[in-house]
Amino acid sequence: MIRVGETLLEVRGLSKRYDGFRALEEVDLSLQAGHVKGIMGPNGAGKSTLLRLLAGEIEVTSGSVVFAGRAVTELSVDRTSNLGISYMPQRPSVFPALTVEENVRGAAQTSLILNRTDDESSVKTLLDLVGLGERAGVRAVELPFGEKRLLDLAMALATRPRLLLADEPTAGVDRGSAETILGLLRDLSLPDSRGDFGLKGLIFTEHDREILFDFPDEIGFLHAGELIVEDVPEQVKSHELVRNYLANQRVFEDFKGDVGKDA
Amino acid sequence: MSKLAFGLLNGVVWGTVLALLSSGLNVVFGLMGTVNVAHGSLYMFGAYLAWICFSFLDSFWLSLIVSPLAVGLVGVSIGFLLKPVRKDPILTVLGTFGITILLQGSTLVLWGGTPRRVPLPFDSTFSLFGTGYSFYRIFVALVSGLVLYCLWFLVERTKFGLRLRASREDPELSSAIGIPVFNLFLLGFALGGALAGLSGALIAPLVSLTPEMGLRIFAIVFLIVIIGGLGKIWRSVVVAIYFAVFRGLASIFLDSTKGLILTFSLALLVVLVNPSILGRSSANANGS
Amino acid sequence: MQMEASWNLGKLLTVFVVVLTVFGVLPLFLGRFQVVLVTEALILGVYALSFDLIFGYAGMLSFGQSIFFGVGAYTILYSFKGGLGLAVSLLLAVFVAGFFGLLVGGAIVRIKGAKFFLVTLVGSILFYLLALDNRWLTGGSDGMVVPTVFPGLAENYYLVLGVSVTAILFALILVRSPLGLVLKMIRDNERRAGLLGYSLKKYKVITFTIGGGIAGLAGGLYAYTSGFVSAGFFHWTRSADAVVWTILGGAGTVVGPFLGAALLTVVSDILSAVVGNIYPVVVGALLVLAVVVFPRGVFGLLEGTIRNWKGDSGG
Repeated sequence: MIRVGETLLEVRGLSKRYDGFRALEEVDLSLQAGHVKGIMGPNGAGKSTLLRLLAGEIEVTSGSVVFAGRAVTELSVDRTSNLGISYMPQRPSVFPALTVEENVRGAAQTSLILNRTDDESSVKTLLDLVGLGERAGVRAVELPFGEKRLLDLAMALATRPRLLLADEPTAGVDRGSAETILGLLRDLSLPDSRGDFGLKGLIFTEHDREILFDFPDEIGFLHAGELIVEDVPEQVKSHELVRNYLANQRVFEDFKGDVGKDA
Repeated sequence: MSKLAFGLLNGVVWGTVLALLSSGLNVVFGLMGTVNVAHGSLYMFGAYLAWICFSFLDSFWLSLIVSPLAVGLVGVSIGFLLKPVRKDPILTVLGTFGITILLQGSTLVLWGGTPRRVPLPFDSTFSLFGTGYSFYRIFVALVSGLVLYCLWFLVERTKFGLRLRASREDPELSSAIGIPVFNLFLLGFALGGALAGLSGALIAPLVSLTPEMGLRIFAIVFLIVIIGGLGKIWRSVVVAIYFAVFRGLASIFLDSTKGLILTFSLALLVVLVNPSILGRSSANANGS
Repeated sequence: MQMEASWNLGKLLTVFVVVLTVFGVLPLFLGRFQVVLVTEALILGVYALSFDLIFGYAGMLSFGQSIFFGVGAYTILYSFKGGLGLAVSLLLAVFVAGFFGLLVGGAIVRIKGAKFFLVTLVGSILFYLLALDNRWLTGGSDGMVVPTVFPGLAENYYLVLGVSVTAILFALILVRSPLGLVLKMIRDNERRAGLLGYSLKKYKVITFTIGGGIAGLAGGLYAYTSGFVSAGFFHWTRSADAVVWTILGGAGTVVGPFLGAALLTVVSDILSAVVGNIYPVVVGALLVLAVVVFPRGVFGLLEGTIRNWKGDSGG
């Protein structure tokens, strides 16, 4: 049982190298239970690599990851998921030939097997939570981009994770779906989260500063594989490198909001 | 002792032909990411063309020109036919497999299942350990070697080769910078087909021709390409020679079937024990 | 209640009972030779089904089903020689072949995609060569006689029908079960299945084991009814057959493989009377056509046509 205030995730010296290319270099971070952390940084900084390492999808070059007191560095992706870390990839990753309902049910099966919930109507609950209740019988391949992302989130939550890693959850998503996603993430990460989902921590990567400086407890700034700064939003905002980065980003702000058509 | 020398020499000769074949498969597979199961049947088709040239046109030598051209054309047609599915590895396997059956079946219908023979185009031998060794075999090895060299030059030293390699690395980017990816795709098929056709024609006087020779050879060639490494044409050449020599020697000490079993088992073991050999596709599959 | 996108349980059961009745009375209306064809098609349908489970549901293109077909056949041979009865022998065939499936699956599960296909092809060739070479065990290409009390395809029609029906029921229950859902997920998006916590290796090996067992059942049945078994049972063309029937009939449906096997058995029979040897040409052409034009096979076409008639009900 993880209580608020305990350390949920402890990462030390995490590095990933590809044949000489340093994707991630000596990253230290930690997440307290009940906290939300946002990771920001330019493209190619290593944000996705970081999350994928935590999820166990790629192998660590060096460093350690400890989750709720357990060393998970060497574990395979399915073992990591079973322990309670759920990863929502950067682009929607659903099961195209299956219906929305089957997608979520397939995801929820693991939590049933692992006895985290005996609520058989959880599939319906999840679908309603993301607003796909009416679309249960639709094949996933037919969904527009935003709804695919909602389905993605529902699936990631269906495994009843303790820690959710979301890679740019709202990227390319239409405004309506983005709001649903963010609202849900915000609600679920409150200490007294509704439905008692059991979600104890959230780490997500993001480009949008409004989201980043809105609800996470801490923000980390990743640049060229290094975690330059990691602190509460006010401190991060005033860091010189971050200010530079944000200033340059302004150019692209106008384009946001038009993205959201089918990818 | 002479048996050993012969076995070794035969192995090398056969190895160069296998090398030619695997290079053809590699051009299409390793460089373009498409599996052409019909590659073996193209080889078979080239061999049968040689038989046709000999039987009906009275000239074996003609086939050395006709086979590469004709089979190259067939190769292009295959590439064209499978255009809609070329991005899906499973569908390309199935589709080219269908073509294999088609080619094999057609050959069976047209020329029957009785093994066909093409006599050696020239009889001269040279003395090796007291027995005659056919000059033609040496000729085959030399021609294969020459063609391999030209291929190397084409792939590593010309703009065409560069574009070919680029479109395998990143088809979208290549397309964006103006490389005509699909045309290259077809050209790759043409080249692969031509190489298969030539191999078939060259080997025709040394083996007996049956419609099934295609798929049998395909398994061997594909194994070689995988062990050598996808797209690594030159490593596959080396593997091909090792493979053929091993097979040749094994067949001397054991019988032919056992030799084949041993060779296959060993090759399979290599592939199983070292799955990292099996291409870099999985590294790219999960996104950046 | 599950929300299947197509057939619901009630509809399925009705169709099933109807089809069963039809098959039950079929021999009364057909000549002996036609009964032979139907029996053969049923056995081969079960065989194709084993491939469909591995390919159409778990997404693995395996050219190695002939291995388990042969293992099942020879298990039956030695089981009878050992004096065991039919029921026990068939079960034994399933388990031994399934065990081989476990071994082979376990060995190759790490390998992905098109290379997987090659490894299974080579494996199939290897087993064939081994069978050919070890005459003392297999009788080589000449084979051995199976001491069946009542040999003959037509004579064993009802036995075969019963076994096929059991196999189909088993498969239907499997694909609609949680395990079936996992297989479909692996087929559709392996990566996400892994991220959700499913061990890909474990489930692929399970599929291979089940597929092997069912192929073994078909092989055993075939050996029993023809009273004969040979190294040819292991030949890679048998593997290819399973692939072709399933693709043409419709992969990823339990019925498709049977449709494919039935259709092609009949077609092969008709064609051989017209022009000898033209069958492979036709099959090859059909396969290419199927891949490029209608990958969902005959079953997909039928399903699509029925849906269009009904005005596209969807969910």
